[in-house]
Amino acid sequence: MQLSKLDLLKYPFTIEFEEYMKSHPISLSDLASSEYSKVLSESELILKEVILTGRINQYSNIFIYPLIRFIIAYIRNEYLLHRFATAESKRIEVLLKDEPLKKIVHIAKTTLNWDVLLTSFDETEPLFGSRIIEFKMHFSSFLDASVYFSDTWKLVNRFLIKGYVYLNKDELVRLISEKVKFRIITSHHVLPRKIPEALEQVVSRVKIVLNRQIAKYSDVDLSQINEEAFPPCIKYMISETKSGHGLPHQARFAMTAFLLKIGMQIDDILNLFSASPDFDPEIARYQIEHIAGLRGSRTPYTPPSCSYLRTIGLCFPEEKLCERVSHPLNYYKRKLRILKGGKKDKSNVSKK
Amino acid sequence: MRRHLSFQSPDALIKYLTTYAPKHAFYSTAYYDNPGASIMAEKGWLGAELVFDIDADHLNTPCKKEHDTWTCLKCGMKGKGVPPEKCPKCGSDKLKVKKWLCEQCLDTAKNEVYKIIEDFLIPDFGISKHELSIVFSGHRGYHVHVLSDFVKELNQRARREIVDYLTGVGIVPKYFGFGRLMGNPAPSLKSPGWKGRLIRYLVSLSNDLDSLNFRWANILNKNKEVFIKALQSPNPNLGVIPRISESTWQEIGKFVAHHYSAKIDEPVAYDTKRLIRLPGSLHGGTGFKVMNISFNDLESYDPFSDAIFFRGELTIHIKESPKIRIGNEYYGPYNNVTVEVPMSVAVFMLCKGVATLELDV
Repeated sequence: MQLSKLDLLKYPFTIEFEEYMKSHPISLSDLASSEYSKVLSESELILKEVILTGRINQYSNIFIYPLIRFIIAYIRNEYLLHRFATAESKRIEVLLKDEPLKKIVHIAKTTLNWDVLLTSFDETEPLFGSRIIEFKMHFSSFLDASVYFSDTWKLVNRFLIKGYVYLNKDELVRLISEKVKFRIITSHHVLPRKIPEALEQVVSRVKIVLNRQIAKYSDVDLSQINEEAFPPCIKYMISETKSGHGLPHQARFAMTAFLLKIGMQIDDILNLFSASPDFDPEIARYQIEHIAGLRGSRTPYTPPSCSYLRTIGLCFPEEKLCERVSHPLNYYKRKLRILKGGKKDKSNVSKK
Repeated sequence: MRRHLSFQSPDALIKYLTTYAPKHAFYSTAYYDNPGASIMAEKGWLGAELVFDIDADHLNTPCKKEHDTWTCLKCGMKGKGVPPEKCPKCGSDKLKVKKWLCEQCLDTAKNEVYKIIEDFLIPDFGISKHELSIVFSGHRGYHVHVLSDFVKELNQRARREIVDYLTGVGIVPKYFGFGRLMGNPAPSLKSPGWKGRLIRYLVSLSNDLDSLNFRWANILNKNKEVFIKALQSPNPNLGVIPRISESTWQEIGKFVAHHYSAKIDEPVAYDTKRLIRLPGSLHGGTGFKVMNISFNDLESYDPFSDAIFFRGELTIHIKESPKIRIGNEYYGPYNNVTVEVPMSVAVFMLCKGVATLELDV
């Protein structure tokens, strides 16, 4: 199975793209020269668009992607990194869905090292009837791939037969795009101390747009509520959200329900989420109001318990005080008492 | 406890063990770049074994009431079986437990091992018996080690998912077409994975209805024949049972998934580093061998004969003990006697703290 040059433009995360770049090396000074001025200006445009809209159209030249990745690494801003990673993963998800199955499997196997196979109708029909389930994936690859999206992604809710998890095209494509996002976010770049002047100018212009975007959202005032007393799971979710990392849906729900319950204002919660890579203020406000019981079923939602958070993989990182409680709200109440003084801080003493 | 020891060769390990004769010996399930480093962060985690710890401690064995005893350290009140959260007399939560072991403990544990291997690991996870190492723990259970390459680098989240799969946590029965209106194809006894397992567990449930207090259990009991007949059909229809709604069927599905599935010590399976008993050592609480058993030998394995190590006899004074079988003989129950017993029995009693040495003056 060979990837075409067009495929490389579509899927620059592939091993084939890496090989192409190795055989067509280019330096920063090359990219800053007049010969590649179009590449430079295209990259600048795409970066600004990602910051403002969270969307990427397509790459018209093979060097745009590596240049953008470099600029993002050079700027060293978490919000920009996550915003780009999210946009890029959405872009490839849309494209992959239209590809032939063989190409999808090829990419999953060779670039992501997953053990994925095509299924036959003979094997899926007795399990799924007429539903089309195109792929099966070894559970070790599936577990390497999957982030918790919802309960349908838990291994216990999948068909696992002889070591293989069955999944359809949309699901495999989702896993691929999420993995690419993860790789972008966790990647390391070796950065030179000095870059060509033309590049430096692009970086400054991009930084202006970036800072303007970030400045739109002021810091959240939690003075009435004691942030120090938050349970570690909530603290982690908040810090992830504030630093521009998107949370999965269930985490946003858990976090929102908790904060509403302890009395945080909707506007303040909205501000917390404003740094999310896919933030849409109208939708977010609607969702928060729904959880607060102001819309829809008109029942305020109870924040999830520790055991539920554990089941969906959101109980992290555990602290000693967690052993004594079964609900984040209880953690918060106990910690408040400890912090207000009088009570000895036993939060680090084990129950056993 | 001496920790963070590393050895360059099996001989070096054996030399250390024979020099210091430790009461218990454990090793870490994790692979490290630098296992001898005394600070965890410096060890360099490379991966870990996947181990399932099956112990009578986590199993519902009625024999505990006969041979386990607990004592309140505050007021001295005693009782039998699993200790309560608090002492019923003085309310203290400091209760000391004395555990014993019998055939039922170990048979139940062995059955659990078979359940995990034959009902989950082989058919669902595709792990072959050659990739498994079973170890008798030396006390009340077994450890099942998965040796396949692909488990080594699984992170904690992935291991958690495996544990949840084995224990039915987070299952949504309707995703398998299970409910008042069954999906298509309907789950049946022969369906693979959790789809069939849910139906098989309903069959087990049909035998236990008398001991359950739920409203739906009473209804199922009253319609028991219809219920069992429905389950046997290649196309079961749970809708034939009256007065049980769809949402109740979902609750029943979740209940049986959790109730009849694997009972393991979960942290041992989902931690990415864990101390576990060293096969080839002796268990310091019993004197029995911690030993490897092949899957084929498991059926006939009898820890009371096959895990015995000590030879000879010894005279000991036993305060109070239930009976224990060693080899073909039963020893005890004893009450305030001085008696000569086989060395393995003596070591067991001494380790359990129910006896003292009778030394000639």
